[in-house]
Amino acid sequence: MDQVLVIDDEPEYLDELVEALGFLGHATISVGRGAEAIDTLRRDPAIRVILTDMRMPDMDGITLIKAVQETFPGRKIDFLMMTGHAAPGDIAQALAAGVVRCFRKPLAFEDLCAALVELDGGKDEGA
Amino acid sequence: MAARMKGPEALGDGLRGLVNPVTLMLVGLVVLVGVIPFVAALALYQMHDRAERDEAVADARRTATLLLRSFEQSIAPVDLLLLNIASTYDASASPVQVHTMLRSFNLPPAVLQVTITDKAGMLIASSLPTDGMEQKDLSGREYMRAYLGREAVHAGLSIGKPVLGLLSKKWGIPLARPLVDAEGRFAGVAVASYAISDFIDFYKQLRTEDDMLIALVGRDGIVRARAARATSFGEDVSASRAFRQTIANGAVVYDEVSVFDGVARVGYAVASTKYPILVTVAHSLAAVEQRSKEFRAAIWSTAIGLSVALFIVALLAGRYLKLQKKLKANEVQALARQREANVLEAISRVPGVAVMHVTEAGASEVGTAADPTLSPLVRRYLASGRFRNLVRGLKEPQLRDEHLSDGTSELEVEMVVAPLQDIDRAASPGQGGDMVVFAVDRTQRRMEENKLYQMSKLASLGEVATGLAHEINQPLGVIRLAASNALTGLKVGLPPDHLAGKLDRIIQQTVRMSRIIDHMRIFGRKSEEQLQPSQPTQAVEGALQVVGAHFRLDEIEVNTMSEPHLPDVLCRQDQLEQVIINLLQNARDAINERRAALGEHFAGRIAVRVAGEARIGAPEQVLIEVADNGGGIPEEVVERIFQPFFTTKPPGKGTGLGLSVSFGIVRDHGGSLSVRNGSEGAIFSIRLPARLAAPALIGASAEIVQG
Repeated sequence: MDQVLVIDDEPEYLDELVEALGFLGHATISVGRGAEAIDTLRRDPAIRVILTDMRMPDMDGITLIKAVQETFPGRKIDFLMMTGHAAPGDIAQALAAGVVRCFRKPLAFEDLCAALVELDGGKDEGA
Repeated sequence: MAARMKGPEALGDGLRGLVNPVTLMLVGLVVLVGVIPFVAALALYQMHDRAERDEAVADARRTATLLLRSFEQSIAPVDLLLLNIASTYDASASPVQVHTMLRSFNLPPAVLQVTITDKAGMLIASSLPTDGMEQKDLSGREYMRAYLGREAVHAGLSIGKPVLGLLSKKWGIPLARPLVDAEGRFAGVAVASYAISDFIDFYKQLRTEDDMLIALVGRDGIVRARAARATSFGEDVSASRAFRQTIANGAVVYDEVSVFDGVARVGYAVASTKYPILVTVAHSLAAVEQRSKEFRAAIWSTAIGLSVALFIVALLAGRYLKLQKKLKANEVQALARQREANVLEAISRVPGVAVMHVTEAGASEVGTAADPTLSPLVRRYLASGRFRNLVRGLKEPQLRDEHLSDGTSELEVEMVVAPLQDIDRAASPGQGGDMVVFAVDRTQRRMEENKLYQMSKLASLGEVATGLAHEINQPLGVIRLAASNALTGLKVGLPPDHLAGKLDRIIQQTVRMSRIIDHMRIFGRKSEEQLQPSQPTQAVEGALQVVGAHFRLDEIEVNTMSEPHLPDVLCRQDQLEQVIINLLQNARDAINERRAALGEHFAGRIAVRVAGEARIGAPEQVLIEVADNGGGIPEEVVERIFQPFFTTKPPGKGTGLGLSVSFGIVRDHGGSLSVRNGSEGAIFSIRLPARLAAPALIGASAEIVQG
């Protein structure tokens, strides 16, 4: 299974999400800040999926996506986004930046799992 | 120079103070009143004095002329008689023949006797019977001396000095003519003795006053007959000026003091052209002056009377003027009073306004149109002991906000309580206990303000909705995942500790949520009407709870700094929170605008400072300052920034209500909201009076106890 990097500024939420994904067998790494995410990606080339919150204090989700794409050009990473506001503008921005799927908070966890399975399966086919 | 001038100038000022039209008029009047009658009296007196004198002279002249003529007429027949005798006298006739001749003449009654003498002055014959016919020598007689021993004799009539008749034994004036013989030589004298009493009695009757003088004087200066206080004859007045001038001029005004009786007289002297005689008539100067004096007294008393009358008229005129002035002043005063009453009446007619006059006895409406709801409430409040206590010793006007209730209606009333100056006593305002109270019903206004406030609240509610959604979604997401993980843990048989941990977390998150929801409830409900004491930091914390997370997401750093031991303020906390939220949101908007201009790296900062502020002569106040680094407010906008619906934000972004409502809220708390530009951006300052120091300045509720 693909390794997933989860980024959220809420530590308790991050904690629960990592545990839930772990139950499903996803190898998950979590960080609380966008800047940390870049470092983690550099250290761990196995990361193929990034799940990020939209709004965060240091850097919002879209900025993070752009930063990752610029820092690691050619590296195949899929982006998933969570948003508490779910403003239509936010979602459109996210899709334009290359986000595969946007999830509203509170997170429908089954949808997230389905999306991860889908991304995984797609890659398996390609392998 | 100026110092030297000071004395006279001060005097001049004093005089100028006296010199006003009214004083001048009065002085003029007094002068007129005093001077005119007296000058007139003096002139009249002078004129009269002269006139009296002239009249005395004229009267004397008339009398003298008449007397002279009367004398001449009296003498004329006697002279004729003597001429007759002279022409018919025969020097050779015997005394008996002469006597017979004399007897043949019809003598006028005033003639005492007629006597003929020879050239030696010896009596020849008399008209009166002679005793024994003895020789009588008359040569010693004064009138004889003019003829005796002279060659050429005076042919005219001579009028001699009065003599006592030898035969008649009466005083007479001898009228003599010379007799001549056939050759024309002096042969003797014919003498007619004219009774002097005839003149003197006549003169005595003519006299109008005791010292009046009537005198018959010969050309020789010897008085023939004189009637004054006493009658006399024989005095020599040849030294008198009047006599000499009369001899020279024929007539003259007599004005001299008699050497005989020492009386000063004025009169007239006239000489006869036919006979050697002159008549003097003179009135005593004392008598003339006496008449003048009487006239003068009359004139003076008239003048004084006139003066008094004029003075009384002037006095009355002054009184009248004064009265007129007073009446006019009264009229003006009455008009002013009426106008004031009209003004008060007009004010009292305004709906929702009551004007009350408060005395020790109670409150009464000023004006006739009383507001049916407001007036009774205000009157009851003004009669309450609470009000009496609050305004005891009040010296300066005071503004009060009160909630008045009678059980059915509740009004918010703004009142101006002003102590009145006492009318009768010279006490300063506040000592008499009288007051005027203007009460304005603010209920309607408050309701409108509340509406406006609710509107703005709704507007800002929309603005913060996204932030709040984020705030609620966050714990909700945690709960959902934790519950889901707990369930999974149960299924896979994890130890109970795992489950307990999850449940704990869920509880924590619900606490967090309920805190946010609690706040939403405060924020959403209608404002409290009453002010409650609270710490100013509470409102700041509440505001940050609503918008803080949102600001963190916008990467705006909010620092709060508050002094320890701050005094409480009386406030409606939700309203104060709303104000702070408004200020924070404005700061955020300013920072975001600046960030859009400068780039994403711009670090937004908001500093909230809460501090106590001591004031001189006023209660302590609490300052809540919200400062941003958004670059400040353009100067041209600063003045309008608190106006309703004024906004610099793009359409759809701001309502323009936030700052105006905030301004109104702070003002209603008895405080102030102001703005200034700091070095980095705008600084908004909320100032609220501290609670303990100034309870009277803040509107407090007043429940009127019924009954």
